[in-house]
Amino acid sequence: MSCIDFLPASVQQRRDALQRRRVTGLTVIAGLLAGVAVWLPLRGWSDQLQKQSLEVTQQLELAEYAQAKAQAADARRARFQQRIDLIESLRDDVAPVEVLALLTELTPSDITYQNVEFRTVRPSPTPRPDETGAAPRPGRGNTLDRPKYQVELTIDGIAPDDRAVVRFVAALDRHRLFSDVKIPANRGVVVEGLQARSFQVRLVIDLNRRIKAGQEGVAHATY
Amino acid sequence: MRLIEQFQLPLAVLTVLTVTGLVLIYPTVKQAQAAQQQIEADRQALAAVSTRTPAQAEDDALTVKNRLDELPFRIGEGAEPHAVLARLADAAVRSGLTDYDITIRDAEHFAAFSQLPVQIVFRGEFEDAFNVIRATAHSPRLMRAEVIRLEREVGFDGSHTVNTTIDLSAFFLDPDADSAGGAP
Repeated sequence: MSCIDFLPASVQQRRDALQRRRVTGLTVIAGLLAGVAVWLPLRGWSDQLQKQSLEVTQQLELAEYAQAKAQAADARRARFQQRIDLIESLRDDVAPVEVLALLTELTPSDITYQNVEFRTVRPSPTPRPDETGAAPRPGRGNTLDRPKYQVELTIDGIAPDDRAVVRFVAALDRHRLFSDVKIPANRGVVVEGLQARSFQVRLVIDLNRRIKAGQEGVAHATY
Repeated sequence: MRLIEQFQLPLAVLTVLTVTGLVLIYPTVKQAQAAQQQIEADRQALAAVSTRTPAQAEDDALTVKNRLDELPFRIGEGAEPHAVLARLADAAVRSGLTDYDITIRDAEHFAAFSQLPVQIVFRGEFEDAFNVIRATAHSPRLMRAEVIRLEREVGFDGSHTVNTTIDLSAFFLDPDADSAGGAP
């Protein structure tokens, strides 16, 4: 028993209240400190994750930049390849000058040309889409299963006799480059007072059929 | 007031917990979760990005470009009728021709390319026709003979000449061309 016990009740109550506030205050401070103690490691973990996220984002940006560069290079490659394909598809497989040279080679010396026509027949190219955005109609030749892609050669000539015509046409017919050899006209004419034969030969060079260089008699042609 | 006095300790503890949780811990955990999600998303995107290096792609592009450069023909970037005319005139003059007609018609446009129809007409020998056809075939600019007509003509004096007509197509690309189209 102390002498304080003999204090009036109001003073005692005030002292208790003060004591409670002190305990409460200390508890609040302790709680805050505990909270900070929990928060600090969390904060460190979060910072580490954010740093890691930044690094991964940078890696991704670098990879995307590299990919964009690679895609640009791929687009260039595709353009070059497209250009090559276009040139390859447009260039003649059989050079006209080589065909004419071959023709000259196969022609007997007693035959004279009057007219020669070299005409290529190709599928129509795909037209451009019209401005309304409608899909382009295929070219005429594209509607065929196998597009007609050939050279039609028409030769009008003068021969001394039918045997010369036959020899000439047989030589053409035997040649692998030429096909569908026809003689639509062969009639008698008088040239410089001599009896001769005027003839026409038509033949086809099928450009769908590729002939390898070095095959029989086509060494002069380009394939 | 009295009630607050009485329960001030539990209230204070509750307040401290709430304040600490809301102000410090919750935002930090949210930030960490967001960072983790970002890392995950970035890693997935990284895995999806092609492993092909720009250097590899550049090498491939260069290889194809070299193949293109090695082709004996070029395809023009524009109609350039003056260049076509110059080439044909050069071929004619080199073949020894002095009297020739060159007609260049309007360009025709297709999906993948455009072409300039050109006609050259001249009178000469069979060899002249050969030389002109050869010169156009060997032109670095892609030209293609569509029709060649050689007609022998006998003059009053009995001399022979060959009237030659060559219909050519000179090909070119123009910026409006759609690359999806096909060539004949």
